[in-house]
Amino acid sequence: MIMNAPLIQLTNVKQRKGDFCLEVDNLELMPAKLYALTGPNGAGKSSLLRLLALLERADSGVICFDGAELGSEGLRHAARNQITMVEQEPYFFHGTVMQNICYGLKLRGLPQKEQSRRADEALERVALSRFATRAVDGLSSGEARRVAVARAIALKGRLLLLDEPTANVDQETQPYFAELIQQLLNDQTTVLFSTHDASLQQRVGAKLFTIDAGRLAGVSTL
Amino acid sequence: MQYLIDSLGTALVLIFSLDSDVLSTVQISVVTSCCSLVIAALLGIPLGTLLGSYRFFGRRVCITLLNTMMALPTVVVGLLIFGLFSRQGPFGTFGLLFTPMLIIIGQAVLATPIVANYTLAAVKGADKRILPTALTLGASPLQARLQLLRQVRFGVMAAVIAAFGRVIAEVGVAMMLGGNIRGYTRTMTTAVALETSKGEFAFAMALGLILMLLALLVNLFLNLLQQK
Repeated sequence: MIMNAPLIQLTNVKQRKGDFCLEVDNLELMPAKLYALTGPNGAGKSSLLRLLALLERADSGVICFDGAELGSEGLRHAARNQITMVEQEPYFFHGTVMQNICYGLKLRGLPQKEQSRRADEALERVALSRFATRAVDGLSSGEARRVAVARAIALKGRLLLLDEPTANVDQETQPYFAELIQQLLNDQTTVLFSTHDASLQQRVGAKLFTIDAGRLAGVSTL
Repeated sequence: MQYLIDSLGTALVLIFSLDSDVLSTVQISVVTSCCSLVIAALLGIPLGTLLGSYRFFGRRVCITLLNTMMALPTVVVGLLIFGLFSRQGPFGTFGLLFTPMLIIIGQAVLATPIVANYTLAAVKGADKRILPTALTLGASPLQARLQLLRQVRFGVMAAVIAAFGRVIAEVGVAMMLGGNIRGYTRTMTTAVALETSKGEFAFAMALGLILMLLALLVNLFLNLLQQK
């Protein structure tokens, strides 16, 4: 891993969906850095995150992860193992919180003991240790968001994408996210979160990208 | 009326005395239906998942074909397969005509579109976040689709049960391809048709009662699943 080379890089990327066009001339996310993405509703924040999460393909342009151009599905799948995304309204598979967190760990072939250890550790980090055996159906929206973050950080990926992590979350829960995002830096994780909440971006000291009408406008460092 | 009551009484005696002819006919029906269902599930579930979760050229044509096949009369399916497997047909050398194997093949042809269509509906109606969630957690496209199927498992089970209801109750395929050979290819439905025409109304009624009971159980189970 080369620390001064971008972890993920988008060059001349275009993606058209009906009338909407997402255009990124150049976007570089460096290892172990914090980034925030802001812009008005419908500007393309979620679309950009989905592109970065390799859930969708660009119509043109180049996406490189760890220096390798992602063309084939095999390379994309390998890179996707290093990228996790928490959607604004996360989906949970039927079952318990623990089963949901262990899903990705099981896919990575980790032994049962290690799965449980990582899941417990992740739940502890989002202050939901007691929730391991809870059914996901009964979670409040704030709890659900935290469980989704726990499910993502348990995988120890190198890039974590958070789609509006503090939207519709009560005041009590919001500080958890700021604290958690900063903690993730210690794990050498690159974090990019979209937000309308300027205070969150300022609190964690993230580099700020702005996007408007599908165009990534610029970057500023606080 | 007395005739009906007497026949019903005899039918109940045949059922509760575990009459060997009744049992063997029920066994042939259940075995052929279950085997055809396994084949239909193995083909129909992946096909329904494919059609429900991918967009590709010709998808609409495939769905229209499946819908058409669902409405095919059983005798037409029987006729087609009879032509293929009769002595002069392209697969005549296999010697499968009038064997339980050909009933299984025919019933699988009937059941596959049902399983595929119901699975397709379950997959299309599933939460759109399932696939991206599985993918972001590290699933391959195939693993993500397996997870999608797990999430809609009640819909898929309903598909299999609906197909079972169709094959256990059909006459055309079993009659034309099995030949209604006693103790070998005689299923409940073909036996009911034959025994009634022979005047063995009580025997036919015993099988009819078992068929009705099976249909009732299938529908009860289906309702239960649809409420989940």
